[in-house]
Amino acid sequence: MKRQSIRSGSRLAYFFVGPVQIVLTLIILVPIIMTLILSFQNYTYGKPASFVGLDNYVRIFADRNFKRALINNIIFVNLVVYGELLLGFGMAVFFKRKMALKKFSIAVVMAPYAVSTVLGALMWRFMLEPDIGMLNGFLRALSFGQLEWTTRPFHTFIVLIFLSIWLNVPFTFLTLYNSLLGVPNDLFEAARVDGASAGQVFRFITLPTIMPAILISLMFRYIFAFRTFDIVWILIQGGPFRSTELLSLYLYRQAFSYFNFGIASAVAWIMVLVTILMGAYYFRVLYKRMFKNEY
Amino acid sequence: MNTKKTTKAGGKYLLLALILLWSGAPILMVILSSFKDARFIFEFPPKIFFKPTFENYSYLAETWPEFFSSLWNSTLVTIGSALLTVVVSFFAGYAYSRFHSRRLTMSAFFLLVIRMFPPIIITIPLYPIIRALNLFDKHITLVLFYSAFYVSLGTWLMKSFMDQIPKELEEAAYMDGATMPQILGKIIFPLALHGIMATATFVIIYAWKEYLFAMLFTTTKAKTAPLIIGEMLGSVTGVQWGSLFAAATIQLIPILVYIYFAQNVLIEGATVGSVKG
Amino acid sequence: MKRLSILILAVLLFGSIALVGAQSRFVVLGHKVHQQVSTGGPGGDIVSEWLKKAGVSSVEWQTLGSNNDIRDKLFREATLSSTDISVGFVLNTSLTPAVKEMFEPLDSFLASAPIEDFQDIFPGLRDAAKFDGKTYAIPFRHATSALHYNEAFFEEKGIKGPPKNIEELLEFIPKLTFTRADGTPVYGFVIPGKGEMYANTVDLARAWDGDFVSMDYKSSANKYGMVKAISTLADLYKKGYYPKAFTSIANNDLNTWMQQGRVAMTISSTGRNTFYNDPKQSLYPGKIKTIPIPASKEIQSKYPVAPAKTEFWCMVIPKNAKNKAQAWDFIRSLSTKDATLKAALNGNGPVRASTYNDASFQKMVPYWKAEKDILDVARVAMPAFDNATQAADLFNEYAQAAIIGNMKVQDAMDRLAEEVERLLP
Repeated sequence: MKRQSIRSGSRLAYFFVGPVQIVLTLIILVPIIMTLILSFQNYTYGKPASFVGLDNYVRIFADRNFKRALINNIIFVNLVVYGELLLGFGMAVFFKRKMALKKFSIAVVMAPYAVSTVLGALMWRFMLEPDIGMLNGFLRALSFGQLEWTTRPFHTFIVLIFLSIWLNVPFTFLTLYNSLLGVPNDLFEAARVDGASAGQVFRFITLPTIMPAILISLMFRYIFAFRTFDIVWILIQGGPFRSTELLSLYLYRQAFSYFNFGIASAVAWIMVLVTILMGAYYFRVLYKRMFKNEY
Repeated sequence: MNTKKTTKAGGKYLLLALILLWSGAPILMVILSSFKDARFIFEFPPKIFFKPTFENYSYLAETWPEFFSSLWNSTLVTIGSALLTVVVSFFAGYAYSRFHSRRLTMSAFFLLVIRMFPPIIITIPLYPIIRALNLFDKHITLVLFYSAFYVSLGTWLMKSFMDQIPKELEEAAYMDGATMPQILGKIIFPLALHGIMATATFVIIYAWKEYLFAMLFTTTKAKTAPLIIGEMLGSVTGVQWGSLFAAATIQLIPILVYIYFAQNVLIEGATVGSVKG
Repeated sequence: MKRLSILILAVLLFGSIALVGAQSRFVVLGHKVHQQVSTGGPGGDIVSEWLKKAGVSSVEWQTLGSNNDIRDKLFREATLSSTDISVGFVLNTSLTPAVKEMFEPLDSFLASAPIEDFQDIFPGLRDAAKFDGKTYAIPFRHATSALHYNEAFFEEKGIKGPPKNIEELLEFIPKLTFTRADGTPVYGFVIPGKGEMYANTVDLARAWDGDFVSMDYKSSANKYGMVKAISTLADLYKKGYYPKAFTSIANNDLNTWMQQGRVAMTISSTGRNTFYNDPKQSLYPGKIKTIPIPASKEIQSKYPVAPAKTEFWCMVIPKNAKNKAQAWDFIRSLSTKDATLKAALNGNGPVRASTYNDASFQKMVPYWKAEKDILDVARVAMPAFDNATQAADLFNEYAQAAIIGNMKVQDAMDRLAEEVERLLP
């Protein structure tokens, strides 16, 4: 049966897959190639473009702001993505239980992702205000130190990570929750009949079934989180004293504050390469898990 | 025995309350603030109980009437993007799930890699192209972009959800003489509903909130709601927080309503019963 | 390949036909406020008068929320082969020498169809839009900095204000930093530390006639005026009289602080007076007063009021616009003495000196005299040069570090001046 579907179905497969590839190629790939060319040029408003070879790349790596942004980004992305994974997974498992008000609760849980990022960030900024914010008031009452996120880079970083997790956990949650729903109940029953413990059920039934969803949400969150811009910009624009600047801010500044389009394109390409490097391990796992076994 | 059950239930609902508090507190503040007298929105300490007023909403309608037409544009673009993305991802996801070849695998990873490029940079070469093609200020342009940005995720999600659907079902249907459309429609579609829901939700949220492409590629006719909110935030005569929160609330509620009702398609253990017998 | 090129050609042909068909539009790109002051309010609609004269059915206003967005779109449009936009409103800070390639020089228009009494426009505004001696933009709306203070706090603390010079102001600050009965802390003096911090800090530095980059393009961050300003803020911060939150406060946030009574004195544009005193939004309506920024005793002989910074929106015509003569006519029409007055009555910041002598304007704007006095000596925060934004970002870095105390003030300013020096033309 399998062989037959592969041979006779492959044309059908291309027909199904074709539109996606064509649309993406035209809309996204073509401009991307154009920016690759741009990255080897010196291009700004008011002057014609000129070829500069690898000069842009050299200048970028010599820029202390870039180096700082790169390190910030790598740390930020990893903390955020795994934080979200843990929380999202926990919440997905939690909501699988029976409970009243489930649909309402899930809507509330999704709300941080649905609200306008700008407003969510503004609201948190208000709550985190050094003087009158509720959080610092709370900490004061408990005699903990204050969260001086407006003046101490380490604290700022923590706040940014926290805010990013708050905004984006719903993504991982929804993906994992939907995947959990697809785990056939009869497998659970059979396992319980055979006397498996909750831990064993989790390890050998739940986890393998939702592993693809975990990997996909991890991979896509890596890609999206790498580009985090809004919350950093709105809260403190990469401050204090540009210490928490992320690559997306650096990119934005080069492109739309300084109009160095060549350099900005080069930065974008570097970002892609770094993302691929960081995600390389997951590529392999994704491939093995979702594609290799099927041959 | 009974106390053990009650403590378990109590623990569960306590945890639920914490989760709701953590997720919903700032959202609740946004919504409550929209009903507060503008002078007291940022007061300290903020009041949870107060006399509500609709002032902010009427002020919003007065000073930013275009907000409501922009909501309509947002709706059109969002629904269009969701439909296009779901349809394309559904078919592509099925193909990746049921057919295998080296080329197909590479194309799947192409979908992934192409998303790694920061969208703001591709706007630089895209702007003159969109202008030249006269696709400016049109809903369809945004629909195409938003869908293009989310088919990757949609396809991968659909594939992973469809992988969970046992192939035996289709094989049995083949043997009974079913055609591909019948298989897709009657077997795959219902069992992949939660994948469709997830994909649709992500696109809808993205399209509803997106700012950059909407700002660059629309001017007046296809202007979406986030742009108006951006204009409210960028007021040079002073930000009117009351009407801003009113606008944000109006923008938020439809999504929450959608999520609430969309969960009706999430039936637990969807493949149960279809394999038996 | 041939079929593909025919297809592309057909698409472009249809596209250009559609564009040609759209030629009878008159498109203006700007901020909502420009549309508002030009089309509604006590002064009336100045655009409709022009529409009748010019025989255009309507103006299509394309508005965006921030100068960054407007500039982004305007510059992209101006670099296409042709654009629909006839007139763009942009902040003077966006005008760098690059605009020479993107926008139409206006001198020939000024000669053939002059603006009414061009010299009436404040010189600090008129000249800032010149590059290589040519005019590229016509000022429309200014925002000039003044000192706003909360009279209620002054009364409460028994201080006879307002401060007559900057030294007095600095003395008042500790007395005006306190905690209100409801627990809200009040700070004596705050200026924004997020966003274009150089502009806000220059406001303070001008009390000593200081600069970040002087009008003749000399890097001045480590000179007396700016160093004094930063040291003052650093000192206040160390003593707890300056809020830690300053790095996350931008202009709009400070406006809210003023309305909420969290700050006693601040520097922002004169027009904010209305906003601070709005009974619907402010907890202190009618209590916020506006005066020119008091100069230091050291410079008061030369400058009775500090040469505050001014910023202004101006009108430009993209080089690739389709109907430049019509665009100029629009600009001219909006710049007449009458139109400027009407826009001012609609809430605009007028760029003409004569408007300030008008009785109806004086009645509407109680602080008109202060505004005029400031405008007579005001100058832009920084002259225009290609790497201006990079300099601005550098300022944030060093100034914040200096104020927080991570770097010594003179050190920070020296390094800042040095790095900016390399960016200057």
